[in-house]
Amino acid sequence: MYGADHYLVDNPAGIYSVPMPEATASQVRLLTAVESQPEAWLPSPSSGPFSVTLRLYNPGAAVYENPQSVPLPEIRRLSCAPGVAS
Amino acid sequence: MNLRRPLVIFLLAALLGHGLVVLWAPTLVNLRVTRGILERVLSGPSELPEAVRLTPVMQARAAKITERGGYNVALPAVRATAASKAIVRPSPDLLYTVCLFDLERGPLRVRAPVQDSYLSVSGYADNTDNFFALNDREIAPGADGSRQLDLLIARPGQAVALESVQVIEAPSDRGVILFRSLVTSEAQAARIRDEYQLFQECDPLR
Repeated sequence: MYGADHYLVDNPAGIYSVPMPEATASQVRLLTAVESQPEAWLPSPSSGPFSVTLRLYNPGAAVYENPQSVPLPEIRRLSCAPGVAS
Repeated sequence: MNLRRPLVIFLLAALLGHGLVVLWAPTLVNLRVTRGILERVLSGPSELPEAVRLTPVMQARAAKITERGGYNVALPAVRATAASKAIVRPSPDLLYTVCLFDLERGPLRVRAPVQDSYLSVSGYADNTDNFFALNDREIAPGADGSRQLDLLIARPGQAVALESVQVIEAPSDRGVILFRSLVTSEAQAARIRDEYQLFQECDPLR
């Protein structure tokens, strides 16, 4: 997770990334929150644009040969209410 | 320029030696070429990591850094955090180790144990061109089954009498070697740092 300035986002939990082991279909919540969350989550800035980067280390041959075949994560907005961290 | 702070903090954090910073930082920040390279490849935290014991191995490494003026020695490995502002979008999952090299007096031996996870070693010339990159997948196990990265960095024409070690030609006398090790927990980072303190080399070939 990177803020509008392209640096890692400061947060009390010190969470900057979520490792995703091979071949798991799982969900990562991108949240503006202070307290730690029970499921995998990435703290976003409290306001303003942000971006996420997916990094693959030592991927399988299919990725090298055909990068377009990599199924990219889907990003869905769940809620965005003022004053509510979600 | 914010370059000085990450360099100074590397030493403070890992070596807890204020005297070393006084000796080391002016040498590095006065090197215009080095400044350009480091701005492109370095990323470092500005807060102190967990408390570091000044072990005999670390004292020896600190002494090497001082006596070599910051060149030809692997600097302590760091992870990026929100305080890392030297370059944009640093990976929080990589332990970065920097080694400034100066080949004027001869080749450099670069060695590191290969962990079970991703390791990349790359070289940048004094104009910041990347002149080589190797990763753990390209390293075969040795006779004892362990894997170790073992390279010589040399200028054209430098004599290298070492069998079976891959020689990489550097396009300039000075530059940067960068190690990137994948870490996904602090425990793993600590383990790799400990191994690197003992077994990582970026030293003149003797």
